[in-house]
Amino acid sequence: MADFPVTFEPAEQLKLKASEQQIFWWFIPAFLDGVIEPQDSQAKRALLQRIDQAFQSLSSATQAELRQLLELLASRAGWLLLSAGLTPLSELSLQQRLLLLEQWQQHYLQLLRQAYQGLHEIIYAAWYGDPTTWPAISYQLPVAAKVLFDDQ
Amino acid sequence: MMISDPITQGLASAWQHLDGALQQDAQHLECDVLIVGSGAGGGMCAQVLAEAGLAVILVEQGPLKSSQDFKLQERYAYPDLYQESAARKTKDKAIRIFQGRCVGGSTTVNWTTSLRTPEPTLQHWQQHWGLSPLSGAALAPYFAKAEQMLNIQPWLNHNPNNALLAKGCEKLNWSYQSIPRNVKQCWDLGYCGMGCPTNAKQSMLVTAIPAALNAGARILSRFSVERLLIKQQQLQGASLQALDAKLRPSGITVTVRARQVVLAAGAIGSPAVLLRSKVPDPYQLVGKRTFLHPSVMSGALFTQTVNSHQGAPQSVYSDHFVWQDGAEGECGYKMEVPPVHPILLATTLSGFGHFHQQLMARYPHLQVTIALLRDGFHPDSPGGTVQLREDGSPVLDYPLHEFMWRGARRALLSMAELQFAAGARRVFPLHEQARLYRSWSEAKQAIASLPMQALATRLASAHVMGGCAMGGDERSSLVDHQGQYRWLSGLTVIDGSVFPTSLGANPQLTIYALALRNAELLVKRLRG
Ligand SMILES: Cc1cc2nc3c(=O)[nH]c(=O)nc-3n(C[C@H](O)[C@H](O)[C@H](O)COP(=O)(O)OP(=O)(O)OC[C@H]3O[C@@H](n4cnc5c(N)ncnc54)[C@H](O)[C@@H]3O)c2cc1C
Repeated sequence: MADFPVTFEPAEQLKLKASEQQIFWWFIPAFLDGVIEPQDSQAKRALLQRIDQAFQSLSSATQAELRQLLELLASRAGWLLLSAGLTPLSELSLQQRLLLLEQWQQHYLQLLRQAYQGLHEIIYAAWYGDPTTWPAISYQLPVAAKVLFDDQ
Repeated sequence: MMISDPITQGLASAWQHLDGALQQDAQHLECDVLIVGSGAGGGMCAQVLAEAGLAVILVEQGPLKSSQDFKLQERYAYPDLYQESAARKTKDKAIRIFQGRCVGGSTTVNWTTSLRTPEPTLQHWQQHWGLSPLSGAALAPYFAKAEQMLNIQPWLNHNPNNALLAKGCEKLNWSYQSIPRNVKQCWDLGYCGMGCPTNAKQSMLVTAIPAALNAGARILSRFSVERLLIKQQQLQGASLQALDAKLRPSGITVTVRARQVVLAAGAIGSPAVLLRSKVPDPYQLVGKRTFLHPSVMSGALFTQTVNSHQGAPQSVYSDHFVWQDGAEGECGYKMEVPPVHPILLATTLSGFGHFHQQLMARYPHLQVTIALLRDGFHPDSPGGTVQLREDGSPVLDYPLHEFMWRGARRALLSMAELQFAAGARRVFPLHEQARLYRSWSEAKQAIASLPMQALATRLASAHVMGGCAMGGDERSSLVDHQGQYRWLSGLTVIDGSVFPTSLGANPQLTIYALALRNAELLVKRLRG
């Protein structure tokens, strides 16, 4: 289905298809601008893996909807419609990707706000679900809870 | 450290438990009463019926977990314990819906606020819904009984998050109260939403359900009730699908034959079972008038640390604006504060990139207030409709109309005013077009012109109600005040789906009290 060539090295063991992974690959550095460097393939790969896990835990209906959205973004016609431009996502600069997200976030078309919020939710859930991201926001489990789990 | 675990102990004793994920073959079971769903309604009902000596089977689509499985982490809790991994949304995706899906239902993950039904709500029900038997005085003994069973008492040790709500109210001379909670020897950890790891929360999981099982009830976890079995207008029982470890149907079917079925699958689950079963419904009411207390949210940054995730999640509320304009007037709203953990916050916080990260980095200083909009009392607030997807799963269509949006805007204004009064440096309404505001006057001006619109104003709900309305008139209600389904004998609904409107208060205690009452009445009917 995807019209755009896959321009990064997709992970094979994931449930998300290469063309679906690609959408996240290019949007991760925009959502996490300032936290993940666009060039940091290792960090992006690790997050992609967690996004894939989060995806698998969704209900079948939500998975199908998210897939539909990703397919749309990965198709030339869909991309043209949603981005109002022909340049594929992989060729947009980080600045352009940020601008696109801002347009979607505040767009008058409900579909685009849904797309923006859908990506927003799964990317941030996967990112902050990982305890290694917690020190940056000074979040920690309660000290009292340590005793609950220590001697199990 | 060993925490006494009633589930493990019970399973090691004589409890009868079938786990759908271990089910190998089709099977046929029989009982007096089949209860569908093990949350606030189903749990309470199971105890009353089993202790009355009836043969009870309790079916729950989610897994049976115990305190040892609760690891205080959202990444495990959401997929394990919540409907749709806590990503359930209304049809247009504008409102995020939190509901439990595990033994104990939403009570296993709820935030312990335990309030009686507000008097104006009961009065509205009596006047407009033909529910004269449900007066405050008539229900008082059931409230008292539930409060005693679940150790419900006011919680006076407010964490900073709650204390700021109180402080703002005091400054503005708005009324506020302390919240009673259903806990015993609570450690004050603040992780109620991920399942209580110390069994302090007196949820159905550690109270009514163990009592029911001790009295001989059987429990089936990871079994989903597909449809009711109806033959010649007679309810015979139900057919169940066994679910695998990922909670997907394994293809194995179990049928249960019962004299009586109690539907307690919650306010989206119960209408879904009725719709799948194509029950008689001459006025097309199944799934209609489903309410959410749609909630708008406001973030605020304080100089001091707040650590909104630590300590009893909700212990102060303000009803200052709930009934201000009368029950049938403009949309009232109740103000509370939620416990804020990283995934919940990050996914709810609008914005992205640097902006999002900067707010996340100030996490310890963040306070969040929510305003729960009281839906269903005004003609312009008809609620939503439960529908079935092609695969038979339910989805709630809940369009928001002008009446609710007006309430949302006023609520965002009140919360900003409150947070500045409590000393906030910045206030941030959770809205895709909002910014951080530095003063009440700046916020006031901005909020006045923010577009109130689906997928712009962020909305969430943890209170799903209605969809099988009770009442006195067959043209507007599906069940009577006892929960008896009008058009099919042998079917009773006992959960939050029977409310004809929302409550204007957190629902669990209302459901407990009604369940105690209507389960007792059911015992009488079955004996009679
Ligand atoms: C995060 C959160 C916080 C909350 N905080 C509070 C609070 O502080 N105070 C308060 O008063 N209320 C709170 N609530 C709401 C309260 O817990 C619910 O209103 C109440 O539990 C609803 O009771 P119920 O019996 O209608 O449904 P539930 O308790 O949701 O139980 C329904 C059960 O039925 C099961 N089920 C559904 N369909 C089927 C099927 N087909 N087959 C088998 N099983 C099925 C579900 O898995 C679920 O376990 C909160 C809820 C959540 C999710």
